Amino acid sequence: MFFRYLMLMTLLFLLSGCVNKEHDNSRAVEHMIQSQKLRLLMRELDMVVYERQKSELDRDKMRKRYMLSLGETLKKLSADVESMPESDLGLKLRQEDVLEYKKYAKRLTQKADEIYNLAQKYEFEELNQKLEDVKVSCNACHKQFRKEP
Amino acid sequence: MRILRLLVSLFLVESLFASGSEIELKSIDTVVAIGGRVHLSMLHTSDQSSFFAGKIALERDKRSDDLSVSARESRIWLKTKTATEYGVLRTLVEIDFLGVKGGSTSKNDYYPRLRHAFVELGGFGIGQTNSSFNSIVALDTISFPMDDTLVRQSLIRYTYDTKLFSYDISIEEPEITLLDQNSSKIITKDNLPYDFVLRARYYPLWGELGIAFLSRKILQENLVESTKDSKYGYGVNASGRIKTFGLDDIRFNAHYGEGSGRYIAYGAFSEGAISPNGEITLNPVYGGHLGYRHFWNQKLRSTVAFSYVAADNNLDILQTELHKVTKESYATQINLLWVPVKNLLTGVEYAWAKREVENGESGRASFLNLILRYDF
Repeated sequence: MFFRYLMLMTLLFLLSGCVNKEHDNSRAVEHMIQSQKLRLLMRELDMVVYERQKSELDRDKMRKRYMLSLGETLKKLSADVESMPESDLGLKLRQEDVLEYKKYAKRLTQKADEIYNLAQKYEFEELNQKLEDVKVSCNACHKQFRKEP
Repeated sequence: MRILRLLVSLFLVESLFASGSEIELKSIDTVVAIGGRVHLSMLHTSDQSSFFAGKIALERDKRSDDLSVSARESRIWLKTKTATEYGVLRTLVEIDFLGVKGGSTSKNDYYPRLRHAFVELGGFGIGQTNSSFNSIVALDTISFPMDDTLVRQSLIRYTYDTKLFSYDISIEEPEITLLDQNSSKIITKDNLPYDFVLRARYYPLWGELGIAFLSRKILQENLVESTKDSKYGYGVNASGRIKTFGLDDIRFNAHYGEGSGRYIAYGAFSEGAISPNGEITLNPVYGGHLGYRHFWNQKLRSTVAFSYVAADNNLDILQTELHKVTKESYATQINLLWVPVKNLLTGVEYAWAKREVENGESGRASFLNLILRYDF
């Protein structure tokens, strides 16, 4: 996974250098990396059921660790969203758009906290709903603010 | 009174719902979850061997091919979680059907076998479950590697978790097996001092790693008339997985020990040997495995693996029946697993294994295993 990130970082770094030397898009890159990490974590969480030679209690501990990582990744995503330069967001934003945009970031932080709390209590049954909420929130934000390539 | 309270609690069930693949009953403060697995296996062996380090048939015992179909690996579990002032109290009881087999030609009466009966609270755990000495990561294969380090037994464990690490300390049920000069296995009854295990686990983003240290006393008293002897036994077991590309990973295990025989390879080895005058000599046992898991796509994956295990048995003590004493075993496995729908796993695995015993004889066998498994 580390090498994948390294390769992705290197590639994006080189591409950014070719396109615009003045423009700093490190936040956008970090956002992409965290999104990719989130997807992998969710996939790994689904794979826990196939881990052999672990008791159900051990599997639940694994799920808990993955959920804590998910929460942490969401918080990083949220921080990246919040500090994303306006130049990465498409058209010139009005004041109300900026407020709306910040709301999405806050919603991610809130979901991250909820997932973190569920993990601490081994309450995995509500995770799918929380992740669905995150997905809806991400899609809405991307639709509204992501600059088309 | 407690039974009454439980009944009242059950009548006050707040909700009954399916979470993912398991069914949960929720009372005011306790969640009871029921789940399990239906596992159907079809195994073809070239000579009726079993895919275990000590059970690969020698050339002298060669028999014809065999095809067996079984659902014995199916299992049922029940777990609970209750919020307390000391944290979440969790319990698990789990059985499978790999107990005594009866009448496979007619009714296939497979008797239930207890796998886990364990309770955890505030870092403390007590009951029967996987030993802390076990590998923390297993190969994603259908059959087990030759050197598999897996013991389930009664234990008391304390676990301290941090964000990236887990530390365990446990005292576990002691059992001692020794070989006499006729290479017969003897289980000693003088095993009061408990096995002691320390383990550290590390969970970085790029994988997971674990190392466990086993310390134990191997002793015998009056096993040979009016004699007494003891030796200090130990073992080290390191295992882990390192993520490579996407969901692919490398999984590995390495083990070395003296007097740790029963913890490795499902009883293929003993802790040591006992001489005619009652003196104990411990056997070094060592092994490892390495596997690579590749995802062809989200539903299809494969693992290719190699495993090896061996023991340096004391041939000064063992004099006869040396064909009963395994010297080394190794195997390769390759599989293709498919998850057509969530929690349904099907696949095929080919494995080849070789065993050599202390008189120089050996045996080879190949296995083709098809499974269909659903976790509910």
